[in-house]
Amino acid sequence: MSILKAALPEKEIITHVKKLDGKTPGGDLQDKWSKYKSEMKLVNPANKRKYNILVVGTGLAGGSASATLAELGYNVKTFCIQDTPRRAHSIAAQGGINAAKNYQNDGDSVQRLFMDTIKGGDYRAREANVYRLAEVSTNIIDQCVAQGVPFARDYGGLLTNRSFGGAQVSRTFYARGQTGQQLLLGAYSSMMRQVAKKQIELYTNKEMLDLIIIDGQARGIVIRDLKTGEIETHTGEAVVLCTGGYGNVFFLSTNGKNSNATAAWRCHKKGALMANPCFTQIHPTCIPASGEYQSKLTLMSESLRNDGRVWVPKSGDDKRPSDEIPEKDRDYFLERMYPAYGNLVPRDVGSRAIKRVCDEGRGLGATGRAVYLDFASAIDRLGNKNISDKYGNLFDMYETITGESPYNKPMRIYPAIHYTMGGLWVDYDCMSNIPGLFVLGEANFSDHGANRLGASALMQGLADGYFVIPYTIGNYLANNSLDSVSDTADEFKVSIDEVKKKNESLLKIKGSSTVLELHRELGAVMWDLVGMARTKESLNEALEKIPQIKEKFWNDLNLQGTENNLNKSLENAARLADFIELGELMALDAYDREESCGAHFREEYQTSEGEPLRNDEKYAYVSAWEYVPDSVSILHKEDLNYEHVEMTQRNYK
Amino acid sequence: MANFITVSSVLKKIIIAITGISLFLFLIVHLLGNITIFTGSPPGRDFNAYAHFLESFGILFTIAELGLLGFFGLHIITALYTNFINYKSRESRYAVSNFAGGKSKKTYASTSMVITGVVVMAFLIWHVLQFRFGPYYETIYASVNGGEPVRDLYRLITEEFSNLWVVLGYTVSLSLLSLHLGHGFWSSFQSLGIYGKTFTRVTYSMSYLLGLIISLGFLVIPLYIFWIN
Amino acid sequence: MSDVINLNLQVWRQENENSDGDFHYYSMKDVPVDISFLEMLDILNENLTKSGVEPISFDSDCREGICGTCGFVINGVAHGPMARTTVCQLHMRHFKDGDTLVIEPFRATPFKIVRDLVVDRGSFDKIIQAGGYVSINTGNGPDANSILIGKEDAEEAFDSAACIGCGACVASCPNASAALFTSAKISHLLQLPQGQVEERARVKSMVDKMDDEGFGACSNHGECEAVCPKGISIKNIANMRRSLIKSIVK
Repeated sequence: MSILKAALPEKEIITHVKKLDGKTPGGDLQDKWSKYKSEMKLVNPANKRKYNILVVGTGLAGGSASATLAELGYNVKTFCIQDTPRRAHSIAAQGGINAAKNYQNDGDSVQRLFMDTIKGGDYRAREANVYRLAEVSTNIIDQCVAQGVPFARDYGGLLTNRSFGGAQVSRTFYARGQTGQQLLLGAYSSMMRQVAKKQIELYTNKEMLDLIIIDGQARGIVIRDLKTGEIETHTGEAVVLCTGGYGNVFFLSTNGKNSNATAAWRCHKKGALMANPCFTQIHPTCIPASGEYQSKLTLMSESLRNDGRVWVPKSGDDKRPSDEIPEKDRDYFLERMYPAYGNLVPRDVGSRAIKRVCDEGRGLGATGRAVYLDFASAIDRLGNKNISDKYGNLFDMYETITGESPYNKPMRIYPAIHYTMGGLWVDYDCMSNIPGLFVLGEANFSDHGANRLGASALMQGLADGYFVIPYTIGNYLANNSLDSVSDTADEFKVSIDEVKKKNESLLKIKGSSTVLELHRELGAVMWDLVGMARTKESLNEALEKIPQIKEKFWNDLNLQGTENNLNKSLENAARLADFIELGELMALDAYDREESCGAHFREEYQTSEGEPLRNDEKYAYVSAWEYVPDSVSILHKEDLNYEHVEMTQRNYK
Repeated sequence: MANFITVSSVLKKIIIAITGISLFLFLIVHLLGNITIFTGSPPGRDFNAYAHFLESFGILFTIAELGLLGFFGLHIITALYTNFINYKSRESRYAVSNFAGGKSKKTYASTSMVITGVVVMAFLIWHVLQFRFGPYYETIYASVNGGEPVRDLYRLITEEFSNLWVVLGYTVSLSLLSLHLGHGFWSSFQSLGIYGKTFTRVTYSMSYLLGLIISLGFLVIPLYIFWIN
Repeated sequence: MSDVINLNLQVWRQENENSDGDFHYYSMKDVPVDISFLEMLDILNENLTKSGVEPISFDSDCREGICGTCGFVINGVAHGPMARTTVCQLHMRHFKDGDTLVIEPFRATPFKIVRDLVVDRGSFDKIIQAGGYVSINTGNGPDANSILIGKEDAEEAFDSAACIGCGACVASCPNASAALFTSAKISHLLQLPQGQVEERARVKSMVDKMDDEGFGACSNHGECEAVCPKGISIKNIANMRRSLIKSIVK
């Protein structure tokens, strides 16, 4: 499909001349959101029940949006691919959720959280969005506590906080190492309350496979019942996509096995712009891969870096066991390189530092792809009991997987793909360029710029769902007259045909390569060439190799079974087909962005100290790609204008 | 009855627990009364005197008997009905079933409560027919009932427990009772919502022992009688 | 990759909810002991696919033991032999060379078998819908620190709230009772001031729903606690019963 040829020295990227408009409201940064809210058109309570809203996905964003929209009186239909809406991968977030509550009296404020997020994102996020995120963060905590989320407390009964990477204040609320789970279950229970009230119609085991656009507006979705294979359609006045990120492009990531980009990618193919796809975050503290059969990587919460010290032996030849290496032969390289932040540097900085020492040959074990995260001094200082209270379940998890106890031996960690900052482009209203298609949470290109701070994903998912969409969707519905549509419309028929044909064609290939093999192949290319550090050459190579994988996929796929019942291989194959195309776009985006920023690290562009070197002159924009069938995607640019923040070189020393 | 069926499973278990604990207390009283078999002269005098003392309550005694019957009935019917629901809740059975160990309190006793219960029920019917409604012998003691005749249950017991098959039947039934009590005792508290880390550990760890002690206590009589004859 | 073992697998295969299932036998050679149980099944599925047989359907997602998606019964024990471990976190180092493993889906009438080892646990949602929430609309919460909750109360509430909804409690219960699942939610909420407001209505409604869905009655086997990946205590069941008695007596 792609006309990109490796032979071409320079890729021809067509840039759309008209600049994208994020529709940020005017006024002072501090007042934008409240002013905007007060000026929005409202939907009369009696009219709300006339609107059908289709929410796809039931993670933090989807769960909170479904519940909140239903509470307001909209008719909500919620779809998820799992057997129950309590399973989405938000559940695996361990560390916590940020909020500018300043309960610790350590100088935190909305302004400071805003600045930290902008800076952490390396000035590639939309200013007004980030400010709004920081602003509503405090409401999220109130909301969750009211729902009964058992956040950690002090003996006095007040909420307690921990600090997290990229911040100098303690603003992270947590529920042991299962914060994501508790927040998700909070949203889920609110959603269940609305299901009981018949305000939400719940559809489980359903996968969205296409978006229906009628008269330029998102008006419906086509879904596949994963149990029976039946293709169904649903119509509505708005579609809210909350389908998470696409980290599984890399095959090995910390994402759940079912996390996929299919719903988002099908919207992209219907015209929704894909923004900053190359901004993928690497998480520094994951359990290293042990062998070829590894199916996923397990993250160890970044909060561990509060008390754990990262080190490698000073010499790569030092093969002694950790406890026999004296202090003088250890290199606590994060503390050495970044004295101010030490082990708490942002994720991208930490990850690259780890990669650097491993590239120097000082990595641990047979693979040489691991460093120590050592708790010995924290245990000396605080005692086993305190450490166990804080990290008990993480330590247990580590021991379950590796068979080693972090109480006695330092953990081994290595970076892994964790989160994707890129996603479908949305304006200030969280609406994509397709009217009526809203995108929330990790699925949108989000408020994190080129790099997300720890404990901010939960914050963003819930901010979008609880506090942004309920306002902006009303504004959209009140401002647009939407004729009723029927699911017998031609647009649905065409789409159902396409979806069916696609599944049938996958089953017809009858080749010899399994979905898993092809996915691994894609993952290896993505990790090696479009991973933690990228170069023009590596991206060129990726752009050459990915189409080959695509070709192999469509000619040599071995897929068993039928489409008329539960067929996980078929689901995975269809998702992989989309991942391959998305992977290619990621490489193209990384190729286009000839600078380093945040998690996007082009080796050609770095400071003498190995830090990312931005090019604000040329690349202070959001790259939003338009899908063009059988050709190279067209680049749309949204310029990032910083009115309130001065763009500086990030410095965590 | 319809109302009973619609009572929630949790309440049914509470009914089973309350009746169970009551029956357990009855067993203790019964066991204490049995001690009289070993005292008094001639042998059986105290025992027959005790039986006569109970009967002398007249209508009150009958009410107590009926009450006891009611508790048994409620315990059994509720348990059987619950068991029927439980059976339906897993229509396709496991090919392999096992014990997880660790914190599990699942035992052969806990999984066979309905079997041990039914056997014990059958045993009780037999036991009541055997003695309460068995042959009526009389005897006379100077010091009992003012010298008037009283029922000579002791003779009946001696006759019955001289039979090897009866003794064997008692041994089997009482062993099963011990298992039934072993799970039932601690479980009653749990069913009533009485849980404490220490309390539950203690009641659970003494539960099976208690069941065993009570059963052995009852078993002593047939074995003793069989032995002396 | 230090060690490998050989295994004989006996796996339940069932086409769909209405068809009859039976056991299929597979022998696995050279399984690395460092991989997880699900990765072992991944390998088996790869082999099956390559030999033209449809792979075994089993559910999994996070593979970190938190989403509650995976789960089946290995040799009569839900989630296999290790305590507090889901099958995705169960590693092959806990098995011996030559072991025969019988793998069955979670069986309970309310958990319909979707296919092979995949079951539908939607009935858990219905129990939660019956009252497993605090009735509060978004935006109505008071300042988070205005509700004081002692550290220990918060910790205990958390212990109950840690349930991942995998269904192992039901699967392992000789009565297929959902008491542990239901009581964990009731107990989580009744230990917090936010949840106490609706305690009476909640406990009654959730218990009734649990019965309606066709789950059995709890007779205190405690097997649920032993197989629960989060070690949720049967104390919660006692809490639920006390709460129910309270709701009736009041």
